[in-house]
Amino acid sequence: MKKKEISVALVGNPNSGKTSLFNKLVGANQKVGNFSGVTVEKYEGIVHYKDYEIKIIDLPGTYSLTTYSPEEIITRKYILEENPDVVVNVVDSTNLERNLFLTTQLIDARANLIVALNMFDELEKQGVKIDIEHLENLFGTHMIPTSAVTGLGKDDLLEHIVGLYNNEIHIKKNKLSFSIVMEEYIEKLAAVISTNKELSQKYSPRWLAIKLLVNDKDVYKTIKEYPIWIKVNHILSEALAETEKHYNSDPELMLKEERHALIRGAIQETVKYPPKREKTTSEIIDAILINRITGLPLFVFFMWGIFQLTFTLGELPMQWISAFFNWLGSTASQIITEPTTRSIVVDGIISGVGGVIVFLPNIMILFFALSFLEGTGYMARAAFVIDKVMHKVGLHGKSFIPMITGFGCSVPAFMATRTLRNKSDRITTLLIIPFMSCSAKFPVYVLIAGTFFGASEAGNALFGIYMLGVVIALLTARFLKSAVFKGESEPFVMELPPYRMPSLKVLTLQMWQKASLYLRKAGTIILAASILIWIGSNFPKSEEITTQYQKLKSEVINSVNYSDKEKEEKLSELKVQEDAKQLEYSFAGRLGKLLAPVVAPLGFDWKLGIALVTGIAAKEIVVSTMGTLYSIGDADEHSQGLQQKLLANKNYNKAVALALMVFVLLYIPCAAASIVFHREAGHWKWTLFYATYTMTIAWVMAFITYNIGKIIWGV
Amino acid sequence: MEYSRLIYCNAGQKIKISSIDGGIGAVENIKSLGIQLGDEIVLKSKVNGHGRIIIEHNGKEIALGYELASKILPECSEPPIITLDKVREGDVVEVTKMAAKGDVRFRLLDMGVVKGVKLTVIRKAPLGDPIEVLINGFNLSLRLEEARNIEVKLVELSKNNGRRKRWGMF
Repeated sequence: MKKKEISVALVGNPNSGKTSLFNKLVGANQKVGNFSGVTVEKYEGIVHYKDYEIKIIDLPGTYSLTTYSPEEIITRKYILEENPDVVVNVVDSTNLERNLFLTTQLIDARANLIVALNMFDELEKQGVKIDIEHLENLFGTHMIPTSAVTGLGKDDLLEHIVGLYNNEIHIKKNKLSFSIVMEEYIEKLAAVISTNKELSQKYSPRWLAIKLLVNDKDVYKTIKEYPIWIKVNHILSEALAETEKHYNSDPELMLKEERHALIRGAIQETVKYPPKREKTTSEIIDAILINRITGLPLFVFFMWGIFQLTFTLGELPMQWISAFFNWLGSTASQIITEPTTRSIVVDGIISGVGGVIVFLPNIMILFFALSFLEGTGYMARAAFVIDKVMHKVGLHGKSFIPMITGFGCSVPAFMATRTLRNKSDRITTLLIIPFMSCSAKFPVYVLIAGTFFGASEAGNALFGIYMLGVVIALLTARFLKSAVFKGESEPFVMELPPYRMPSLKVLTLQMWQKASLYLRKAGTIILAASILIWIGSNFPKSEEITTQYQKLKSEVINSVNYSDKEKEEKLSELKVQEDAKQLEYSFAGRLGKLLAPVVAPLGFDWKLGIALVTGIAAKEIVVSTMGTLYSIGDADEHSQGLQQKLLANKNYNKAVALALMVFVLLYIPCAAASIVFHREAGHWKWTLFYATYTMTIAWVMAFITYNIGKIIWGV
Repeated sequence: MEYSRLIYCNAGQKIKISSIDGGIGAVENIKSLGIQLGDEIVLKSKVNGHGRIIIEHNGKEIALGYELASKILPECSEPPIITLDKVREGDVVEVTKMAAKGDVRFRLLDMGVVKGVKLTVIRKAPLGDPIEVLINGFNLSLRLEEARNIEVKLVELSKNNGRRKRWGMF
């Protein structure tokens, strides 16, 4: 017999323990996806209870149902349009007044409501007593004490969900009234709205009336489409005028004040607080972590800590994965004899897939660390400490962590911007992360600086490059703030939640969810891009070159003048030369030559052009491409042979070297990062802007650097 | 009789000093300037950027630093109205008017910052901005520029006896 399905939506404030409750209910029986059109994660799970299959969706944490951020919009839309069978409002019972504000809005929206008084165990520990029955009657809603930690109320809640679904439990619904003045306007508006069949069928007229009076932008937009708007507008202006005249206020303010007063009154009647409020653990911890003296140093230490953790701890697994894929590649090379198939499997697919998976340890560790910081509550403190600096350049305190992550790798950094609720803050942060010089660019700097600047100056050159990146990032932020996102920044108003110890299970779950999202979306596209780039650097192949070198190779093999060892050396030399010529012949090579006039003003020749083009695939490749072009097989940044060849080239000098480093610093990040950027930014226009902006800035700054360099070093 | 702080009063006000919220050091400092309890002074101006206050006492103009000025408690028949960004750490205030606009207003109202609610200023961030307040049992942080739009009146002075937490702890 098929089980009956009940759809349940979990709604509640951030930090109300909603997600912990969700995890307690569904366990591992959950999946994560995306709400369409926004980068907000959607968690759905199933719990089987008696004869029922209860599908639960964990909506994003929100403080209210008024629309001004993606979280509110999603939650509201879901409740009003998807009509879940039951809505469970998870309330932090140690914070009733603020949490019940959302509850009253859910009641207005006529949701089929159960309130879970969560964190009830903490409440009892504090010595607080609630007359739950009385509170239920005041609000006209069932209320169940729960605790995700102790498991309190889990069965009770499920029982109530089933009961509500079957209309078996009753409680007198209460209309939460406002003052007579406001009720008058609400009723007038509701009456007008009721005359429109379409609207009153879809929404509760009273709900719409209240939302109109509190200036809800979304509701305004909806009602404006209907002819009743004229009458509605008239009543609204009347309300505005009267409240201004008699109360020196406005309807929105009055309704919200009255709401809070109503809640406060209800709490006074039903909740008994202990006589003396003890200093909480959180307050003690905060006194140490964010006080005037230790606050900043500790913050710097923690940021450094995350960074170190992610990139040094991740180093070992990254090497293992790298080694594994290398082994896989060489094994495949031996098995597959046909050269083209071999190349496409080894150089294309295996290295493409490897290139995606190799990021995984970094991403997992980083997201574990971020979930830990977020779960304990320190994340909010971090934003609190650094906000002044961020705000000066038009950013938000929460932008700091994604930016710092960018110094390691842009991919997790882009993903970390999801903590920014406001769209313009998030896009701005996304756009400036590329200028935080990522670790893949480091080998390029080492090679160039080491070759052209010598031991003493190389360090300074490197430091200068990193600083330049930061400066350009901050200037870009300023520019975007003043020219593009005029005055749209997110209010800082933010809760500093009590410190809590997140459970290891939840952290691991969250880490795995983020990692699998990455693998699924980015992975598939990055793989496709890698193959495309492989095709570009390997095709077309010149028959002429192949035959020419075939001849040369057989000459060596058949010659009697060389020993076996010398023959081997000669053959590998020839191979590298052949690779270089083929690279020139390929699409990538031709592109490099085509771009030669574009990069000429920067002092670059076509070889550097090709290297930079291949760098779009992955920045590490720049060095190995240069190796190929200079016929040094297997080159890395310490390769003496390559360094000598570079120095020997009369066209290269300090000015070119510095300009090259500047260009590498600023130009478009690797394909993997760009694809993740597109996913996070959500719109083609941003990706296009990102591509053009980075290339333009790179070109301009490299140009300036080259010309100033020419003057300084007289080359 | 209600107490207030000198730093909360307005320029041009005539003020009678009722008490000092401080330890022996503060009391001595003030005495050395020739000011006694019960004296009348006129608040001439406030240098808002640095919090320095210029007063007139017995015909002389004296400049007081923020710390010292905050410890001077004048008598007030009615507590003056100030904005939240000017409130000293530890003081408890009540919101009298919400003058913020736009998204900030939505946020503040959602968080419960409405007329009549009591706030305790807990601390300023290490760099001076944002600030943290205790409201309805939870901790809220907001920027000074956001706090500037919230009018408040003093309800209770800080219980630290003027001893500003030197190391910011406990």
